[in-house]
Amino acid sequence: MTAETSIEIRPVVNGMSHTSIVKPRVTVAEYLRDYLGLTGTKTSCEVEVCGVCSVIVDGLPVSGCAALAADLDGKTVTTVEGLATGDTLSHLQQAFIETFATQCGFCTPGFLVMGTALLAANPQPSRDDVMEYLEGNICRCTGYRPIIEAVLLAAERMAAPQ
Amino acid sequence: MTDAPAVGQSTARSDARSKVTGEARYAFDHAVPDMLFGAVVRSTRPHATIEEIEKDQALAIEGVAGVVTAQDLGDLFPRFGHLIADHPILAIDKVNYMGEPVALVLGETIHAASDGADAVVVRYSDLPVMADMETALAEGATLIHPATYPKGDSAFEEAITEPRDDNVAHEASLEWGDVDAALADAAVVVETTVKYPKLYAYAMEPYNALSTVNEEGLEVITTAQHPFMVRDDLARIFSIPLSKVRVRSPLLGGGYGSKSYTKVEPLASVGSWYSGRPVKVALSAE
Repeated sequence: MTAETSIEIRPVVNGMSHTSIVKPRVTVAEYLRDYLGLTGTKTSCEVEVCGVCSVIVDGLPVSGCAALAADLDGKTVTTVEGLATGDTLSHLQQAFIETFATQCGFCTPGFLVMGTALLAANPQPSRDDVMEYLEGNICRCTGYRPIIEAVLLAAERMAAPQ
Repeated sequence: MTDAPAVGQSTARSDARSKVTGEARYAFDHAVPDMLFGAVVRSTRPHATIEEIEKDQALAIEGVAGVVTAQDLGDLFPRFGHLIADHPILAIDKVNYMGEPVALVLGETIHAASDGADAVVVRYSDLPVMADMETALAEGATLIHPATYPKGDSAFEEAITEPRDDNVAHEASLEWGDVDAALADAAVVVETTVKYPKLYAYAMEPYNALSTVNEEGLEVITTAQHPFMVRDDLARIFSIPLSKVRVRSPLLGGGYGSKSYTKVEPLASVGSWYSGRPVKVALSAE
């Protein structure tokens, strides 16, 4: 049995540059959680169905369980830990608190990441837009309604004159 | 503190901020130095005796630190269960269902452990399958549980102390008052048979436990809804007092009852007992 190759990657994660040596089979979610200690990103189904592992790579949402860390070289990654600015929560994070969009909270990072990606691509989504964009994320507690309300509330606040 | 009444106004969840920033830590997020990962070899047969478990190919894989089977548990009490302690930590001589844990492979990484689990060879000899109630209750049906079992948690009175000659696990009858008279007088009598489908309440946080067993006792971080029941089972397995067992249940990533009672805590704990290192077992959705 030959030793697995190791690969050097230099991603920027939540604004911080990293240089890491990873095995080819290490997933993005494993890299974030086990190498960088960013355990806000979760895994559950591990077959790209449930959405809890969602992160943003170069502006687009990606399932961290089904993407390889080796592909992160030179990429910019945003996780749930990177959504706030210092102690100031993003509009979407604040809206999640106010609409009670979290219960157990295990799916919350994935929903926040997907909601953030949606609002970046479509700042004024309709309710249907939100439902369609979030259909790849599973929540077993809330029944989804407060999560949709949170995205719409954040969109409303982001559009309001500062 | 505010003087405003709590009733009639919305109050923010105390855990909401940590849950939207990713700071919230679940059992799943815990790791400790020197930790091994456990991967479970599961039965591919619904009902079979175990003829042989070959560990060698698994142990030859780089990063595999050990393979634990029921044969390796020495003097430990090898089962758990709150009503009846009939659930083997690792299958003892026979498997009773598809997916029953047969061996636990310990690895330096989850990849090494899962490679090792794939490499363990288990040879079975199939037994008649009792896949539905009619077959299991038929005259002469093969016994699924031929053994006797002590009772589980002391809060319950169940026990199977005499060998049974059928596959009935439990019978219950609920009645009060003069049932026969009430039935005779009733304008309408409704009789029904209720069958429950196979159901599973999927919680987003997978079953997982991180256990450390040493001379001071046992500490397990687990996604458990009933930590005190888990503690009872672990104390019995290792024959140690309850005061030596610490069960930590941090934020629970969903449960819906599916995380009631003991699940993977015994596996992680025997893995740690066997290897002398902390062991984390996190199940996948497979």
